[in-house]
Amino acid sequence: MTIGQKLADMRRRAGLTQDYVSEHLGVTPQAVSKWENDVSCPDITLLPEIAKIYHTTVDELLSSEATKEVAVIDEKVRKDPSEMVLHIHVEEHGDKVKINLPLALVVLMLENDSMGSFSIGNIDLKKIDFKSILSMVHSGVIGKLVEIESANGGTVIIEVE
Amino acid sequence: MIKIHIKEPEGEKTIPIPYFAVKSFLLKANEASGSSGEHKKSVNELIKVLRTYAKKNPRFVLIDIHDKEGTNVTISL
Repeated sequence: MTIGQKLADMRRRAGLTQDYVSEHLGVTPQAVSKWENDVSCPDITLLPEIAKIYHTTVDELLSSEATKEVAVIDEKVRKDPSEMVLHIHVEEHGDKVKINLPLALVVLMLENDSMGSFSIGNIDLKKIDFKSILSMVHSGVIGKLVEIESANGGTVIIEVE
Repeated sequence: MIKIHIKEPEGEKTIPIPYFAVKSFLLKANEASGSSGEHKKSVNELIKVLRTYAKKNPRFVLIDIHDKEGTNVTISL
């Protein structure tokens, strides 16, 4: 995985747009786009701030290894679950839907039983056990927790960051 | 403020929706479905969570849709 791919992947996982990142760092949106397409690299002085807004470390940003799909985070360094985000990616017949739900919102939706009415296209998300996903997150498990390929060619990926 | 940004091949536009309007819409939708006072409470909680999250994470993208015709719709805080 190149640094550009990694930057793009981490930005999406953090639920941020290129516009937000560029404004936050005081660079142009084109500069962010160039980093993500491996045309250029961010200035070394920007790396700590990039790592901060992407909820990662400078070491991880510079590592050539792909982001781990699933990891168990030690209790001492775990993020507050209310600051974490559940990403739901659905792809079906050429349409792509990405939903970034703050975990606090997922908890609220589960408490009020409103996850049951959640469906995207032909994909019915109420069949996914969000309570078990939350339970895993509270145990420190993060990353790609669910990956489903349906018979009609659709895919659903659920990640927690 | 919740912002709906629509980008089509013909052009793009942003529709800002204040939280009170989102709240009003959800409450009316709940009333129409004949829901109880519990739903009113949950709508209030939902708006509170969104406002709190938006303060810490301005411009957070909640939903990003790309359809095969080239239209991109994002809903952000």
